[in-house]
Amino acid sequence: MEKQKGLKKVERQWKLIVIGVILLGIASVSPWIIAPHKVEPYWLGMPFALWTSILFTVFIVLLTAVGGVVFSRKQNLKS
Amino acid sequence: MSSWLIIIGICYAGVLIYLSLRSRKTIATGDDFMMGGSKIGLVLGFMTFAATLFSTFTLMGMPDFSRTHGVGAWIFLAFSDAIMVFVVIGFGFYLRQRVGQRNYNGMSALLQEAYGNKGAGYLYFITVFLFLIPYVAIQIRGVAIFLVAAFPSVLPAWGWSVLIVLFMLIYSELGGLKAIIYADFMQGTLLLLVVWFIAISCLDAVGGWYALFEKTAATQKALLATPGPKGLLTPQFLIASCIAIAMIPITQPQLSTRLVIMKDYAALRRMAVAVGTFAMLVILPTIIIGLYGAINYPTDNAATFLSNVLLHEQPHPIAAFTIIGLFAAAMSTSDSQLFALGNEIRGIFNLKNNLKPVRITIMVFALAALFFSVFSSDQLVLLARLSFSGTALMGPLILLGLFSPKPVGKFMIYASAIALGIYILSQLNALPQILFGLRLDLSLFIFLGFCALGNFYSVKKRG
Repeated sequence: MEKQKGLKKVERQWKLIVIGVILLGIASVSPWIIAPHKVEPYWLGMPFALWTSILFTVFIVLLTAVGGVVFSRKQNLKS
Repeated sequence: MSSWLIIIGICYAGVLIYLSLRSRKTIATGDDFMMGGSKIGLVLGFMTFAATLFSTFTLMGMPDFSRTHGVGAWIFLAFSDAIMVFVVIGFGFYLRQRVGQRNYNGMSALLQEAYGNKGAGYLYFITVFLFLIPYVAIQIRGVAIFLVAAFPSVLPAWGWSVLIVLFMLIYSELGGLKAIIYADFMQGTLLLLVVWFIAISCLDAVGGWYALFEKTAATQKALLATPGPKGLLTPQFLIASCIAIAMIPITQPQLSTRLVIMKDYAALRRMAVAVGTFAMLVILPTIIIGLYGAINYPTDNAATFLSNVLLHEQPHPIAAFTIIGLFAAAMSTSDSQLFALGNEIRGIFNLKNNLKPVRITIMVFALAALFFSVFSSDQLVLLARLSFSGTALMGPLILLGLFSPKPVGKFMIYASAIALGIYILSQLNALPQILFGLRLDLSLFIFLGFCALGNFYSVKKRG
């Protein structure tokens, strides 16, 4: 029973992580982020398309770090 | 610089010879030679994966790509690489589970087993053979044009290319996969140090981080946004590139092999995070170098820009390290691919310890890449992308075979073969590259994705 509950929880976490990555993927190529010729607002001297895409990349790598742990836990509980 | 180059070159060659001899001692069977003992830990696994992924095209191609197309180069490669490492944590698990305790004989053999059909393995092998040729060729070409620009009167480009291929073949023959992995470790470290040193010197020369973007805006503002001055980095191009790059560990055998030979899943998932971090650390300086090039070398050709920035503007020891680093990058990536193809042949024909056909395949592939490198263009990144897109067509075939618990029939093999044929014809300009306003590669990815999903659920429904 405990195991089932734990499995459901990590499955939900894994789904959230996958959804997060998909949303970041869609956002990164959306017209808001890669609007043609949009360079402002600048941040730390960087044009808009660069700093937003750097932030998105960092988020995805962080989600990969968390996702790896959650996925591993999910598979352990399944087995 | 020559004396520095000789000193560093001798040290590099000495370390390589030592590593290959050390690896040779541990080789008892064909498996040891082809699979390097299959127990690669986090640090070595991360470095070999990263070094196989980031090669000449990163150090030479990406600065030139950023100089021409601007900051969108980050989305093209770094963002796509982040998606790719996320794919690794899922795909790596299922691939390792499928392989289990058996010896891994390559993706072709795995597909033949999954589909219960030899055609699946042959189709995969033909695809990777065809589309890894441009990828290996750009390694050879990149270093050759660089060496011609650095030493104009020594050898022609084809002469350098022949030397590089000879060196590659001898090294891979000496120590097997383990030796290549050790060389990857050296190459990855060298690449990171060299690229950052050059980027920092570019920032110094241009007046700092803020000045880099201000001067770029003054030179060509379109470089600071998508789709870039030439209009290449459109959403469609970036989406298709992202899919193609995310598929690399699934479809390119040199990387899927590295997922299998990791010691355990914990090492694999940590490796994925490390590669994602490494990607950001390596790609950011290439964009700095590219924008510096846009300011100072806006109209020069790629070879002149690269030889000036990477070589002539640098202190002699750094210039020497750059040449050795580029050579090392080309060699480790190409060797990994040669080896992976050899392993595919070994799996398809179940050769076990008979490595003669494997060596012949490696030789034929190396010669094909050498030939292609002599006649290919200098657009290294776009040639690499061609390679990624071509092999990515096999992604749905592999994923369906891997996730389906039982053979799923021949439908997906035919669909993938048709898509491959259409893609090749489009590259030969016999078919258009845009179809109803959609890029052909993106259309084919979508088509194959739906075919695989449909096939999977139809088999599941039939029970």
